[in-house]
Amino acid sequence: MKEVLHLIKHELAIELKQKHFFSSIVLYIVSTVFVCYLSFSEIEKSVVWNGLFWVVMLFSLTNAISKSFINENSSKQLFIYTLINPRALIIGKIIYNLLLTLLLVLLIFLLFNMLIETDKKELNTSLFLVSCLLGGATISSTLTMIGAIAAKTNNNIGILAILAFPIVLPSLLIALQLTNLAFLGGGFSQAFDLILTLLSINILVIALAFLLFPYLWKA
Amino acid sequence: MKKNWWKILGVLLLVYVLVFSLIVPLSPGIDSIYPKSLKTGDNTIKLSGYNTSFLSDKGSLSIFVEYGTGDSIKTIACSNDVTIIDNHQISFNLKIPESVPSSSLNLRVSSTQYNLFANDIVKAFNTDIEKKDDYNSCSIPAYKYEKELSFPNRLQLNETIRNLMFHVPMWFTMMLLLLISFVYSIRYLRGFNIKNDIIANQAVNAGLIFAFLGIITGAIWAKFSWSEHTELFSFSGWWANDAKLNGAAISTLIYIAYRILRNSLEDEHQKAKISAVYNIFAFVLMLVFIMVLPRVVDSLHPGNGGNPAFSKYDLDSALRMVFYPAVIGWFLIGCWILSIKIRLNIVENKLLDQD
Repeated sequence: MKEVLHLIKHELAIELKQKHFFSSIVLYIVSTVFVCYLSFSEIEKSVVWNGLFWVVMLFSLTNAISKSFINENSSKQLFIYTLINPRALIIGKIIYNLLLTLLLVLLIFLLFNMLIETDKKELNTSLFLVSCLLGGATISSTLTMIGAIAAKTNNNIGILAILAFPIVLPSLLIALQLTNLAFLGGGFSQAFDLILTLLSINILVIALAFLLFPYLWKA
Repeated sequence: MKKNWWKILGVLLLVYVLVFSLIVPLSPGIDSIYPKSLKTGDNTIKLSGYNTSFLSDKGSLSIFVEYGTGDSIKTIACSNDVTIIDNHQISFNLKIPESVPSSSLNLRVSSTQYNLFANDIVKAFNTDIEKKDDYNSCSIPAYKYEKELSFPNRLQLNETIRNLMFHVPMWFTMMLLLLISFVYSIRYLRGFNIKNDIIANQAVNAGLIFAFLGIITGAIWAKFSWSEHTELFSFSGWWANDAKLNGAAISTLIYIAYRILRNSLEDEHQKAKISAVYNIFAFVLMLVFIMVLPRVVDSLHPGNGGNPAFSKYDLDSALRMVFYPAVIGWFLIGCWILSIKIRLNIVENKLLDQD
């Protein structure tokens, strides 16, 4: 547990030292949303808005999380990580990426709401936000594990997308369903089943990562 | 020879399946009804059948309009006055009472040889739930039920039901091969024996063959039973937005990604380890996906989204007689392909070592 906390602190310190990484992600999101703004501007159907929102989410998260294992090949990092239990490492990475994801989800949500208009008369905002965060969290933990796999190959961003998209799809579809429900004004009681499914997928992904990551580490 | 009995069994089973799935006739059924719905009062209805022989039923045909299921079937109208045009066409008059107790009516053509059903032919009716009289005033033909070997004739499916023997076992076999791959990936991670990795890898390759065959047979089936675009040379109709189709597409994508991952790694042991990790991760999530997806997207397949499952009443004895051997036959052929692929891979590795 201490190791995990220490790792998260370490990641944060690196992040704060290299501000260009975070700002590049933010810029990526802003420009993607802006492209959507120029090409769609006003979407009558909330279903379309919703789909677009999740596509932007998926691509931004892929981009952000692909960076999490990119520095791993340098010898200094290797030295640090020989001191640490690989299970603590993957949990630390997942938690750190979760924090990053929460920030990015909120950012995308704000930008989307500001720039792209749609029919939001019946929107249940709290359900929408909860499902966004939960969906984002599941996607980000899956991506972290796949990112660790992809980092072992030479062409890592391209391969991350190929490996991760089909696997991420179930959580994406459930999250999409949840936000659609929020747009129709549904409450938490109707969404309970879907939220539970999403949460259990997330736990399953983390458990699998916890079990399998040490083998990757030795490779 | 003794060792290869299962290969011979597999081939024999598939020959049996091929022959029987193509020569067993479809049982008689109703092809179309005009007009498609009944109205109160007198109705003149034209009916055309498929694989029927109305001429030989002369004098014994009766038409019933019924509602209800199982033991509680009630008749609301019937007719013995049937004009037989030819073997496949009849016309008859029906008098429908002013109010009927149910809005879901079925039409039954009954003769000494068969009962043909057309379900839900109703529309616009005054339904009166209280009214439960039986209007049965027709003679019921003495039903000599001597069932010949035939496949059920279902609306929409018709002759395409034969594809059941080819399309469905493809997916079963693919899942079996992927399960083998999953198990051997776990075994590889437990002992790092490279032979387990070869088996896991080749099982995925063999599974992908069946996945593609499953997609092709499924696309043909979808085109001719779900789609309105049945002309052969058009792009539409080959795919439907359906939970099982999407699940199949996703699992195929996952395992193509697995192949690409393997190809992008150089070192043999690193390749084996990393692809085993991905394989385990992907297989578990694929299972979740297959379980979750039907709840998110509706399916056109039997057994989903309100469609009755095949096993309920459709997979009758004739279908079973061919379907189960088909599944076993394809399983055996799948395992045979896998064993050849494994041997080929081992020989290849040996040759590479010699160079």
